Amino acid sequence: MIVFEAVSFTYPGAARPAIADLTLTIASASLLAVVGANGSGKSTLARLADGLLVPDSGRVMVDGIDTADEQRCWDVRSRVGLVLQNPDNQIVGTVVEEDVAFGPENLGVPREELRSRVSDALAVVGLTGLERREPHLLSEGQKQRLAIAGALAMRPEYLVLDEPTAMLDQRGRTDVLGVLDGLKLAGRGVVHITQDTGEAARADLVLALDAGSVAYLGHPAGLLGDASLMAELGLEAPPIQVIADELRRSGFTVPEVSTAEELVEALWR
Amino acid sequence: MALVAKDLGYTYSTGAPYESRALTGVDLRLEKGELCLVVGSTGSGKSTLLRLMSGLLEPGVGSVRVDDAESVVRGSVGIVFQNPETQFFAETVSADVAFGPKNLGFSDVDTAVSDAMLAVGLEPVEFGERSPFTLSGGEARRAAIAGVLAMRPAYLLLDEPTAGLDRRGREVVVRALLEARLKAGVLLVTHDPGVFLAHADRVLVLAAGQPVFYGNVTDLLEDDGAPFDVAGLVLPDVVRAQVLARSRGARIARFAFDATDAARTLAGALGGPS
Repeated sequence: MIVFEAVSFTYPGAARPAIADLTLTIASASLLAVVGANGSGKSTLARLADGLLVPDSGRVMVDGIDTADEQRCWDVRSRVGLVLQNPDNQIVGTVVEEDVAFGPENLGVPREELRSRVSDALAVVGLTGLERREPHLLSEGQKQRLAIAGALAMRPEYLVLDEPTAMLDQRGRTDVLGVLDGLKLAGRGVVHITQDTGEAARADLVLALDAGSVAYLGHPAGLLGDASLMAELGLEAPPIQVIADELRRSGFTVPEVSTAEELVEALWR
Repeated sequence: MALVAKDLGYTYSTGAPYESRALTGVDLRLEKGELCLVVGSTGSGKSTLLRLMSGLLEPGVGSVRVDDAESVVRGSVGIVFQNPETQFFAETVSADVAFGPKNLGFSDVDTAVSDAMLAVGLEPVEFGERSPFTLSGGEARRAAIAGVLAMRPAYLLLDEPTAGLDRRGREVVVRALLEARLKAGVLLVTHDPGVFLAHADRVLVLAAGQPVFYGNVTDLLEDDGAPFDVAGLVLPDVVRAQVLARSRGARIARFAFDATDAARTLAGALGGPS
């Protein structure tokens, strides 16, 4: 588990804390979505989870290890994989397979295992066949998946992803969401930071942040069903839900639907 | 007066064993006051097209002309890259936004800077003296767009300007771009065309570097948005709901691009609560 205990963090020179008195448990084999407006503290939370930032007060424990303990810094980092928003900032290799191998190679992983880790990670994200490609020749979506593969090659217990689908088209999104589901089923704790409430609806739990504090933590339906809380948090309901709600308000009977197909199926039998 | 691409093509690493043809046969014309969308799956050549149209890459085949000049003229075409907030370098937001107009020798740099910041909803008094590195993701994106708007380009090219923005940030950027269109031609690459479809004069759909559709939104949706299928794209949910309803016999004369409007359109087609 990753446990946030009354965590606060303020960036140097900032007027208010980016994270304020946050308490949260991230379990293995689960998918937690984190939503909130820009500047609500989502990315800071990601950096606190893997010890890239340490709290000003309170503490973050990763499988019992305090992220502020400098002696155990690498134990924390190898347990928590972090995929940041912009893949261009995280790609270091001159070809794809080198980039994926970078992390585990630095941990001293033996050559044979290194090979299997790289090929496994590339298979999971669907980049098999591009091992020798130069990263700058990849499309943005491929780069994003490369960044995820780099984190996976570390075989982390937890994976924290900061808006991994923001740069992807619909198919790329579906691929990455499938990867996240697979990781959860494989027993990993996955934290998915996203602007898209439709993506958040697929999670086991959703955390909504507002000015660094918990505004909602619970089942996605509880948040998505609360239109006034959504508006207050600057969140947008999935469009199909908006259409269904509007139709209900106009007196139509519409069941719970989440896709355009389901909506039309329900209305035009 | 227009930014015009003729039979445009480009191949990366020509002659190398891994040479890859990124773009072939693109014809495109962007006039001032127009909004043109470019959509396509990742790797379809969208970003390459923007680099060619802005003069950053020399066409391998075909040509790009600005207002009938032989090539792209510096200062007339502004480009906002993906994740432009990674390119800040000045100590304050206003110094960063001022960099372009200063280099172009503007006599009214201060006005250009404050106009551009206001256009993206960043109050100069509040944000001007802050370090760009202390901005939130959404604020940083808007500051980066302001840096290009401040150069008052006749043609404005943007690569995924709303990706990663929250609802409010997106609304501000959309408004800023529609305002920029009053004076400039706007060419916008996006995988989330949603709200822009309501305003677009033309859409170019790319698949594997080739144009599969170039025309207005009505024609694009004529055949249930078939060019999107060909390009491996999915229509935005709001539009797809209406397309699906129409294929089931619903009478829909005009598509709505906003969820609330779409609900009204569907309610109208249904005729009233059953």
